[in-house]
Amino acid sequence: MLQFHGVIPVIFKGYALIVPELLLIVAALWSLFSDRLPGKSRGAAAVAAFLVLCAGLITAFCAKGIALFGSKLILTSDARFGGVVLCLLALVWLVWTAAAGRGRTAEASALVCLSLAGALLATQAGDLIVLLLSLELCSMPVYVLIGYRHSRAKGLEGALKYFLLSVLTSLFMFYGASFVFGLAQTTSFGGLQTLSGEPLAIIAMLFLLIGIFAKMSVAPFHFWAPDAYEGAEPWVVAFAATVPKIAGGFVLVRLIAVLNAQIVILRWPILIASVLCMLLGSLSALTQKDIRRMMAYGGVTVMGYALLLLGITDSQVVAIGWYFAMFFLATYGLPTMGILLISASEGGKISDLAGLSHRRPVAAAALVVFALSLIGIPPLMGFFGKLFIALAGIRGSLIPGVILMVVVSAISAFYYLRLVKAAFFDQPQEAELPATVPETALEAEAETGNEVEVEAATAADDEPTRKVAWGAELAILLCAILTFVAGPAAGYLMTWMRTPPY
Amino acid sequence: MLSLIIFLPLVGILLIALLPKKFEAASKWIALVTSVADFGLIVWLFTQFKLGSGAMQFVTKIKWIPQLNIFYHLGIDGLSLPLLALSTLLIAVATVASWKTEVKPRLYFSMILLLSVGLSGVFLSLDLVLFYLFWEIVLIPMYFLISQWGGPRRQYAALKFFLYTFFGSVFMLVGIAALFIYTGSFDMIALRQMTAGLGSGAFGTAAWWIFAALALGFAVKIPIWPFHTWLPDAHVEAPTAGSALLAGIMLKMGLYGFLRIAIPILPQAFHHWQLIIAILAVISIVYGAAVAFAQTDIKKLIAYSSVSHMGFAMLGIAAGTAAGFNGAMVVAISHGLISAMLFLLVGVVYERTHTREISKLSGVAAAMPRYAGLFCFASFAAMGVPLLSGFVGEFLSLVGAWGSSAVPHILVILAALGILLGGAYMLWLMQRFIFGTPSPAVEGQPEISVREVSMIVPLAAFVVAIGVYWALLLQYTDPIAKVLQKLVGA
Repeated sequence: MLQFHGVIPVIFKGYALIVPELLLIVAALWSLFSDRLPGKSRGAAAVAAFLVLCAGLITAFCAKGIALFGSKLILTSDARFGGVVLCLLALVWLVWTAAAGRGRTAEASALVCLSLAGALLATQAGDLIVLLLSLELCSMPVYVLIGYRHSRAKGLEGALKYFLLSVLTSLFMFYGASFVFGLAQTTSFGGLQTLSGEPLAIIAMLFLLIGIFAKMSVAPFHFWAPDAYEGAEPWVVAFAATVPKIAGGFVLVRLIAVLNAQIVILRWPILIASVLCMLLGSLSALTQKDIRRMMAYGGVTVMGYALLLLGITDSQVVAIGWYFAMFFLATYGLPTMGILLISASEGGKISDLAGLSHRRPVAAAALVVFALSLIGIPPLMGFFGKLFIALAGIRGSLIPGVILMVVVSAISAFYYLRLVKAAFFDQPQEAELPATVPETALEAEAETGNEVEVEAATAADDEPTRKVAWGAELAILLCAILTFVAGPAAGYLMTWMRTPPY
Repeated sequence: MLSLIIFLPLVGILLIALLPKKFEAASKWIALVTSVADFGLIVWLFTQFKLGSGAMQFVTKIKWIPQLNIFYHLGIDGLSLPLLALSTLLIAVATVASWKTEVKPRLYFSMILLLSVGLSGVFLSLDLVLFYLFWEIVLIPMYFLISQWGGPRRQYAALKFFLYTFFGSVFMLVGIAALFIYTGSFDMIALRQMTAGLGSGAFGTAAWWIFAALALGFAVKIPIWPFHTWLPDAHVEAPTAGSALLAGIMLKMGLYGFLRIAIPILPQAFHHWQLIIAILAVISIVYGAAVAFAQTDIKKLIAYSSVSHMGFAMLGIAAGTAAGFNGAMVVAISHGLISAMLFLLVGVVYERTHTREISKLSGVAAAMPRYAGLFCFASFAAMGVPLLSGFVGEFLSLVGAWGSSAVPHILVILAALGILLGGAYMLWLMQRFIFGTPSPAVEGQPEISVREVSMIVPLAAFVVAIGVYWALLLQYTDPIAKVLQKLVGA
């Protein structure tokens, strides 16, 4: 049954499937013990980045269809695609962190590696329990990251909100899963396909859906996201707003793929959530002054686009819808991360970006690429994501939904362009530095581990032109180049993803 | 070959990007050389082009996203060749017009060149996705040109421009996607047969709204009343070269969309919309002209006159006859030349006096006689005086509309009145702006320079040439117009 015709499986056999996760655990352990290891704090992030790169490559070259532990984990072609996307995002984040350093870097990179391991397991899960546990592993480190600046009340408030809501939604999910188990007598995805559309099954699935929706900050369960993000540091948000969310999206697609055939009625809650996401997300994003809040609402809108395709029931289009939804989710991650990483060295407010084109021309150019990709301007990858949604949506008879999507895209142009406007055309206010910079300086001084950080931070304290490590710019540039190239290469990606023929 | 025309400016952009800040003044030279070379390629293309055929020439077709039948597909015919020539010519002229740009010249000239990439791509693409790609690329440099180098309300105007046209084009995208759903193809030429083969059953109603979606995207760009409100703001706030390019070539993208995509692919649906388009076109003509009377800013006056002139082109299209299509294509080219000339000339005075208020400018003829001569020439061309190109297009449009069974004669009469209004506001502008006693702002200003004359002369030469020898342009457009008429079945 197992296929061994990849390069990597020749060496690892079926265990190739979990080698990436094992590498991530190693990376997390290295980071935790980095005080005793060469390279110290930021060296640990660099090591983690390298291991994540290896994990991504191994995932990429695995043959699809490997299963492990009695199909508890399966590497389907979409799981492989998801794994590579998530590893790539984490890689960019770790490279940036290793270069920029923000105090207690090693701990952050350990948490990120654990979260990524959870995300990878969740996309590969072939069993409900494995899926739910991996989602927990994916989101728990993020609680800590959100509250990373424990000296700030706002950060703690956000972290607490996120923690409480996340625990509540986990309970929802497990409660729903218990009913599913009761009905199907099994938790494996193969067994769940026998589940019929009886009322109890529908209620159980609703519980599961609500849980995942809240984790992905899908409307109407999205209210925690803006507050939590605003309280957190932008560089932390860059991770929290991408990897766990996209992993959640892939999981949702997987679940729908398992269950949708039987429970057609589930399309309605999904479609309602999709419409709410688009409307609430985009309208709320219009008035935000904080980049993190804006990106949080922007993320809600984006989830709405993806959910639209999960509401398709036409059996000929349904599989296309799943693949295109996953493709779209993948296009959303890099630009979001890029924008937040740029704001990490500038400050959380949109007005903090003023004058960016003078200070950091490369980052400013990258910002344009990110914003335009999120708006959906060709030839960037965000455009192809939206084109595919329109194609699948119209074919799945969701024309009103597609029209709503394009109108909302036009609205989103308004708020994403505000970032470009601030970066290129606004004059920076004199002698006003973002609140994050002096704090970083203080904390970095408090920990004596990192001299470069202290230097950079104190330099920032003295003069308005903040120095940004070249490695950090490189990470952002990498993000921009990928955003640029992945669009025209959509055909190759689809072949690789094994998208069914349209 | 065609790919070279599109991507040659990218080489210029790359060179400019590599230019160190110390030598940033050289960026204008790079831009000029690149754009002139690009125009040279077009001239060469003219010599190779086979006349008298409505078919595509120089076709390039490479697989791009095979899963969705998306191709990198280029080609050229008598419809796109003149527009392509106009666009590359205007890019070169715009580079000359921006010679004195001091602020961030590298970014400025890269944006002009990027605009060239987008414009050439729009006119050369034969694949709908590729077309949409270039269509949207055009937005970005224009957004930057307006918001960085524009007038006092530039931020507002740039955002409005971007949002309006983006709003229109996303509907176009839905239309394109829907066409693909029904036919499985993005090929503009092959789609003509495919949609004809689908008949008028279930596809009939779908075609009706697909046409509407496509037309909305194009109508915002043209712009036809009531989608025109972005235009005065964008034109007034844009820098001189930006206004010239906006009016000169970007508005024609919408006309091109109608002639290349909406009408030939969905001729049945076009019949349903014909009358509405004609009515909107006439409203645009009369409304644009009437509002132009009330303007105190010369640029704004010319901007509204653009709405009026584009109305003539739309009327020709709505007619659905060969004469009408010819008229629309000629208006597209001649308005491109004339409005670019007018905007450049206004820019010349603005550079000297820093005002465009008609009340503060008078008696230019006394201070700058040669300039006044050129301005009068351009104004007469805009009015539609015979022997100049403006006349040819509007005449053909009206003849086409009169001969069409779909357009009531009363509309054509109203449109003809629009020509009178057009003559009136341009004459009134000349009387106030060119003649009379020189105002303080104008007095003692230096005469128009050689550089400034050099950017007007090529445009003026084409205006005269087309006006005197109609066939110069019609030999390219006529085969296309006949093909379109046959498709529409008028």
